[in-house]
Amino acid sequence: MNAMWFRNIFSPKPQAEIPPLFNEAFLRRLERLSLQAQRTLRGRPSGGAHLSHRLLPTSIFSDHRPYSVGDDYRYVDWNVYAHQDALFVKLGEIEQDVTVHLLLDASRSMAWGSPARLRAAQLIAGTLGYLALTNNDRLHVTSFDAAVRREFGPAQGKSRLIGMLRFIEQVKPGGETNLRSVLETYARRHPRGGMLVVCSDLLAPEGLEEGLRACPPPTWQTLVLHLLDPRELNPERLGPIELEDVETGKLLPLIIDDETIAHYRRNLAAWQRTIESICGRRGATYARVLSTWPLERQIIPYLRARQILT
Amino acid sequence: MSFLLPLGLLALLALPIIVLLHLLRERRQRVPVPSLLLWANLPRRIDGERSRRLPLTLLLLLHLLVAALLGFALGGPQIAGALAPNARHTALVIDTSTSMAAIDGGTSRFEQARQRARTLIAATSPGDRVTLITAGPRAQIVALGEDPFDLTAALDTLQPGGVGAAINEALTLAEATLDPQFSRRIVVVTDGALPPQPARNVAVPVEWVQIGSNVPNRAIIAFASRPWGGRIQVYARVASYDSAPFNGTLRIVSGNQVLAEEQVTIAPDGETEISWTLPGGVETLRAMIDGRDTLPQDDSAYLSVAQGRPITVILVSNQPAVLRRALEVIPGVTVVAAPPDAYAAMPERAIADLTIFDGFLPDAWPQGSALVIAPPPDSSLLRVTSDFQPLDAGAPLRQRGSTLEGLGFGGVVFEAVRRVEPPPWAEVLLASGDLPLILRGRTEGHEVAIWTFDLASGNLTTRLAFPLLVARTVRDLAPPPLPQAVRAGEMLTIRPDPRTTALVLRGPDNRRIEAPVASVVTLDTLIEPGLYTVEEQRGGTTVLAGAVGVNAGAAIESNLRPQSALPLRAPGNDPGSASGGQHVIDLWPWLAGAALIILAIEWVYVLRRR
Repeated sequence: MNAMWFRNIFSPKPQAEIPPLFNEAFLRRLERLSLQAQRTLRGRPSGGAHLSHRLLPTSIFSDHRPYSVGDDYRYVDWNVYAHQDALFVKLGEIEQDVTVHLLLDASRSMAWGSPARLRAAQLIAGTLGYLALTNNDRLHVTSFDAAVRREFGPAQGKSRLIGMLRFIEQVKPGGETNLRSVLETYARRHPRGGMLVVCSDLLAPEGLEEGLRACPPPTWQTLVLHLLDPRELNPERLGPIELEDVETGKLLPLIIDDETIAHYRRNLAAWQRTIESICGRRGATYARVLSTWPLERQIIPYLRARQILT
Repeated sequence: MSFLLPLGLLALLALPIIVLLHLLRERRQRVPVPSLLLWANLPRRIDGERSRRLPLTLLLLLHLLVAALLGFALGGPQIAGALAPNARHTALVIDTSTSMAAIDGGTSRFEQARQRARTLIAATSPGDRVTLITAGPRAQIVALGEDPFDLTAALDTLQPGGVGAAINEALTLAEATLDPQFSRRIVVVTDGALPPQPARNVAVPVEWVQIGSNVPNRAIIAFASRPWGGRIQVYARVASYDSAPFNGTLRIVSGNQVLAEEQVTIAPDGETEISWTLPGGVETLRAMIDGRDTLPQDDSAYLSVAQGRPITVILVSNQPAVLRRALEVIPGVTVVAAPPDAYAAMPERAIADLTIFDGFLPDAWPQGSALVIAPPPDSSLLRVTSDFQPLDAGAPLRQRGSTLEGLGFGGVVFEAVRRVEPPPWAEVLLASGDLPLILRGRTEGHEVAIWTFDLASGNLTTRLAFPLLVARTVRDLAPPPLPQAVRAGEMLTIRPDPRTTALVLRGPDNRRIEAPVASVVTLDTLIEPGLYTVEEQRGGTTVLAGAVGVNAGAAIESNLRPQSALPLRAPGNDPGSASGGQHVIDLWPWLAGAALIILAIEWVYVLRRR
């Protein structure tokens, strides 16, 4: 017997070892994927991989328009001029990069669950960030609770991968959630818009609709990833208990029995429908993700099915 | 199982209280949820359906268990065990008073008692325990153990002596000493020379062993003297405890010189008193009667006559005449007067018992006692105001303490009084309003009295109270004389001079006894009759030699007729012995220990649950 057994009484409970968020093999497999950005997004035609709906003078022919003063002579279609004796400029779809904004909810409620929802959010944000950087998109990663907390970016190129992953790993939960304030503030800071991915449990009484109103399409392509824990969907029958809000500390004495659970489920379903409806009205894509889903086997296929990834 | 303190079981009332508290404060399990958003609008059925069922949680069970264990522990539960089936604990009380020294049947009563005790000790079995208690003037435990050899050795060192047998004290001591886990009993070995005692209860059986028979005895039971002019008056009382009249000779001797001799005739069981007026000049007296009896110790009585302690007084004053007259009439007082300027060079400072400072105060207290009269304001020893304080003529004088008891200060006018702030070591004996007039205290081994008034200004010196106040103050400040005589074993109280460094007594057999020096020395070991000399030594030099007589004669002690045993109300048998060799095992330590362990488990449980 360990002579210092009594130390165990005073020592904190041993924490289960948390595996690293990513490993190299997984990241290599991710390279086959890319973010599905809408063509309506306005990017910079510098070298991205996303096609734009805008037709610009380009060497890749798609359409013509009459020449106007100031057009680059290099895009004048001299063959058409030879046939019709008029100057036309060749138009085509350009490839552009887009700005990817990853908003990571770091409120205290994200630490709830087993595994914590924040870990699932970190995995998703890391995956999307990795895809953005490998596709030469501009990337912003921001953690928030009641306000914007920490920011990473803008970053572009694979050289920023390590910094991005380290930033995501260092996100710690704390504070309450205020989606309206965060989204409005964020949209004001980034008026050019881009692809916005919000990873959150959306456990704020209000503010989602107002926040999404500040990020309207087509400037923004918004994706709301709603992180849920299975225990939220199927609470246990615990009998008389006191529920404690981990964010506010408020207590609610309650008897959790079948009737209460039934009421709760109705509330939950209505709440999800409300969120989905809000997202639909504001042109945002809504996707529900369970925090227990394995990333590679369930989350990524799910995102591909929702045409968020290709 | 029995309970030593059944009232302690009232602590079990804590059990329903704990249950009630758990019912009232039913602590629900607290479950953290990410948000109350989805739970907030559910129908609240907690009030209507919240039942008052007892929540049988582990904590409640642990609380009840701890309370039950502690409640039973407070009741002092005991069970009969059989770990030491035949063990007995005997308290052996032996009378060691002077009467036990009487020769009765060829040997002394004490020797017979010792033999009985030896027999009893020898009869003990392995595992038995014996407590040996002496009942002399005071009860005392002299040995406790199981080894017969050690007990017998302790028994052999005992000697009889001392007036009175504290049998009652010894019984109380025995009851307290006896271990309840043993079969208990008390054996009292005495000659029964005891004063009448009221009946008392004893918790354990008492076996009364009577020693001795009806033997006659004569004794000098009182012997005293007092000065009478230049002579001394001597008083003696002689008693005869015999059924036949007694004729004998009573002699008063000083050293080898017979001072008086008288034939006495005492009726059966009677007493006679004789007094003489003898010439002075003798220091010790011894009264002897030819008792021709079995207890010669009480046939003589001793007395120290010259008990006056010489007192050397230094009077430091510019006007010493009045005080000198008052001092010189006190017997034994030698006065040396000097003005304040000459005080520092006085050779008598080293031997003075009392120094009186009149209107003057040195920077340090003198070696002996001190009387300070009208202290000056610039003194470093006392805080004295510089201006004279007016006395409220209508304010009554407040006096306290035995020194001033009976002294009348009516009509006395105190003038030229400076306010002396009473130091923490002094108390105010006389005050007018809040103005102290006489203070008395002891500081750094010095007895100090302070008179805040000036003798030359008031009219105190013309009043009768003045010489009385001076004489009482001198007697109060100077060490008291030794008593003329004490009874054997009686507490002798000596207040030596504060400068004494050693106090040496020598007994009648010239045995040297060194007493620890203190302000009050008490001795209770003088049990052998005779004259004891007392020497106060200072640095190896004897500064005072006196004597004190120790007498064995007493009305109770000298009557050697066996008296009836003490009226004791003892149980028929001891609960321990009634259980047939079983002894009682206390359960409370085990219960309390179990409660502590459970508390520790509960603590760990709560800690781990957090």
